[in-house]
Amino acid sequence: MIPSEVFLYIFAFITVGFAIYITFSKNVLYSAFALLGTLLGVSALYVLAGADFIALTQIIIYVGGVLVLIMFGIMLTGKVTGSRELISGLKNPVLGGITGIIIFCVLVLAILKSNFVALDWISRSAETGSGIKESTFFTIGKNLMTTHLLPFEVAAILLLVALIGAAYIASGKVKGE
Amino acid sequence: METLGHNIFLFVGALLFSCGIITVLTKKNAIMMLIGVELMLNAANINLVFFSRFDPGLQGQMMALFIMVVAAAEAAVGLAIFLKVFQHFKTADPDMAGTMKN
Repeated sequence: MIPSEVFLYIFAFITVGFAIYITFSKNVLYSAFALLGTLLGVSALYVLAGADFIALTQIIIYVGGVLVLIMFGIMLTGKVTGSRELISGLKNPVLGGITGIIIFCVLVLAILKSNFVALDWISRSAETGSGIKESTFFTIGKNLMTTHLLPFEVAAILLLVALIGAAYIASGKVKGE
Repeated sequence: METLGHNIFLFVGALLFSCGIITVLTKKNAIMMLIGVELMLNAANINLVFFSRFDPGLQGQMMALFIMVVAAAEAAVGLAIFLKVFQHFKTADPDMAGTMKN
């Protein structure tokens, strides 16, 4: 039987590889397809972290919604700008690259230096052996309807506002034109 | 504790965040910048979900869920604005779209 760590490393490698491809690619359409790989890899990582509901939501929202939106945007702007292939130029690549590498080094240093086991709730979880053992659907559903009811409703209103706003901005005639 | 040996989640999150920030800073196309923002949001979500595995109350996963909702709304509104800007300025480069009025 293959241990889950093998899958963990495989999916981490897929995720990171596609992300690095996005960073260095010039073709916008290829980057959007690479984003598909990254999002699916992240969703697999969620499954391996014991978050099944979040993994499903990731696939439905990101791959089914956000990625399709980005594809629409690429197709429509390609028509507007008139070029066959959308090539994204670079601006200040040296400064941007240095900034990103510095941030990565700082983050890795912070991860290596910190001792997460000393955290209160993590050590408690280690002692009692609690943590995610079974499906998270029940807990998330209960949370959404009890302790997180207000954020849930606010998110619903936010989505409604975003839908109306996006439709209005993209389709309606702006006054004065 | 054996589960914290899975630190690779945190490294993947850090690398995704760095890739996202490099993409946002260096690309000229506005849609590439949006893709970079999505990468950074995913990096934050990976960290939240990873630490939430030690929490039976699943606070981190709830936060990740709401981040996804906000990211979807942000992508929809952002793309709508981008499309309008593209139609007006006939370019995908946000630097070229410098004027607010006419």
